[in-house]
Amino acid sequence: MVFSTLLLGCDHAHWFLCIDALVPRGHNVRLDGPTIEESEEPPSGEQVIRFALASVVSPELSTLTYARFASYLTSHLGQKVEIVRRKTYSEVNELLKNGSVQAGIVCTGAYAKAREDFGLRMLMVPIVYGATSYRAYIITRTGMRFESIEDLRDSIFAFSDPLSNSGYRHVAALLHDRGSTPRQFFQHFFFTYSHDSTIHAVRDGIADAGVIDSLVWDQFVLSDRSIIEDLAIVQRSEEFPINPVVTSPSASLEFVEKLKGVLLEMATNPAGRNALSDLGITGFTEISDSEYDPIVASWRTLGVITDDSSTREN
Amino acid sequence: MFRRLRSKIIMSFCLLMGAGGLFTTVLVQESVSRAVAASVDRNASALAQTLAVQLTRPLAYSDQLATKQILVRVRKTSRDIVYLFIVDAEGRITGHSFSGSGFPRDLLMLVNETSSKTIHVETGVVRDVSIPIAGGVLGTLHIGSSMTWAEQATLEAVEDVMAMTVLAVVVGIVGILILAQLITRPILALTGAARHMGKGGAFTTTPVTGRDEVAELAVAFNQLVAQVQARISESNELRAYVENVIDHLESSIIVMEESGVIEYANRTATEWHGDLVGQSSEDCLEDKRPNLQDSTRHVLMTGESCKTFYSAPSGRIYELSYLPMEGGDGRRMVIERASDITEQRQMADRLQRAERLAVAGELAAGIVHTINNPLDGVRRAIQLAPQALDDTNRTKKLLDLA
Repeated sequence: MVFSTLLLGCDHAHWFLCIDALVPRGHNVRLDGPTIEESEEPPSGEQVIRFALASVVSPELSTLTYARFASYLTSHLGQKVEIVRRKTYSEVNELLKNGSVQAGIVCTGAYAKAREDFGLRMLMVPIVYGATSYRAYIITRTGMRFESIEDLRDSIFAFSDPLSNSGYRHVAALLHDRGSTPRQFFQHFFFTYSHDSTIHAVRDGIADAGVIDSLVWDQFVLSDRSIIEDLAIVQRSEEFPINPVVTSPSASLEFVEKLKGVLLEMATNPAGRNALSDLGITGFTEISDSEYDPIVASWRTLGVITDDSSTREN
Repeated sequence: MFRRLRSKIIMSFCLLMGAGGLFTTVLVQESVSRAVAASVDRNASALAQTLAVQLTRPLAYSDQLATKQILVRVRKTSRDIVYLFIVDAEGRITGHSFSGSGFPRDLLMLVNETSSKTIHVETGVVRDVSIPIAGGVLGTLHIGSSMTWAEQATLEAVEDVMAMTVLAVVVGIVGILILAQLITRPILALTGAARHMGKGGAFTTTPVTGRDEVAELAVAFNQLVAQVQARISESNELRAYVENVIDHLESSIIVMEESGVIEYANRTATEWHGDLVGQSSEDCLEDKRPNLQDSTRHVLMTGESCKTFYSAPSGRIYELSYLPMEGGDGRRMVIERASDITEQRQMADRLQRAERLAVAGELAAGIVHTINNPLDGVRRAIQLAPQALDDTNRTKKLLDLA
């Protein structure tokens, strides 16, 4: 600047602008000008169907894959479908309970509790890898020498969600059968709020072991084996009924029937098959609601479902 | 103004350096600006990608508080970040780093921008970089990075280039002055020598230093001077020889211009008529050349030579020949050659008389011979006639013959 001042007898801004004028610049924006309100409603103001997704897997993995699913539902239901996620299953259950969301896919464990708590209705279930069931896998890192649940005593353990069937209830029930609780059995445990996060927690050494949804594990086997190549399955559970599609108790019967029809037809529709293929789903089918009864019973055993907490009218 | 080679060299150098400096300055300013903008874009994109991953969960979970905390924290920890905001697919602002009065409405012009853009805000120039979150499903993150440091970097680069340009010009001018001196000194010496010789001065050669083009020019000049000197010497010798020959002619040689002014007269002419050069032929020769004007006019008009004679009151006879001549510069001139042919004419007359006498003698001899032949026959017939008196017929024939 001193040089330019001596050379040209003006401060640098002036002559720099002279040269700079040759280069096209941007628009003028006033940051201290008029403001708008946050989260202004979309201009159209159209009715939106809010479809909840339990965070079985993290949003990083599921956001894109469910986008096409939501788009398909939007085009076939005739109303915009918006995917709604919450960190915990209980938050999703709360949205379904108060009618903020009309439908969703929730975890088996969360459904079992919500069915008993406020009458959440199962509509149907997805068919994943040709089955409507899944398992819980207790996993650890290769070389940790954990071969049974007993070996996990005093370890650091990762659960996914307090209302998760495979990600919590299964291990809690096993410990309950042994007369223990997670707090008593493990040195330390924590919740990751998605099964893929539990995998990462174990792989990265944050936890010694964890319990996950077998479908998430299988998805990594198919898509990115490097994520799980240093992990081993300590124990496979029995089969559980898969995460169901549910509707809010406040949802209209008309909407429920329409959604049911759209979901059933997805497997026969090329666009529907494409949308479902992103999720590893081959179609939807109906199963008996009673298949979830053992989960309900287990929750009761564990004290998650109590007669006091239930608001169901039956 | 720039007649001298040195001035031209210096001026050309200054213009060249000035143009080069300006061009380089603009080029550097442009390239640095682009490089800096690209750097800002890269840094902002890297930050945006990291943030996009961090923001995926709070956005997916509609956790506005966590979203806001992340954006504000990044805004506060990075002094070059002017703002951050997230716009969803519907054009709604789902999070931003502004506090207090809220989100500036002017920034809405960027919600549909997918490429980097430069804008002006109150505090300076800002580069807006946007990146989709979760493929755009969760919205688009915009990061506004201050370009103030970038402009400063550009400014410094431009200043450096300009300083170097000025320095190069100054050093270059000094160098050019020295170079011009080295180049022009021998040239000026050559010019001085040529000018001196052109004014009739002595032939001089210039010293040759080095082996460059100027030295070659000096060598060629010296060779030329030597050749010219030799040619002039030869020419002078030849001229002296020719003038000597002409001066020793017994004829008078006068060269006249078209106007009649005598330009040259040889020694014989000078002896006959005095100093004629520079004088008008009419004034000094008219009384000795009765047909001078007619003859010179004839030669000038026709380009053909002519001849006439003049008998002087002294009795001398002159043959006057007029010949056309073209001067070296294209001027038309007339050469007069005057020869004293008095003796020739007298000799010719005597010879003519001798020839006439010889012819008369030959004629007389012929006549004598012609007369002698029949007389000899008569004499012989008469001599024989007495011997043939007996023979009347023969005598008669001899008498007839006689």
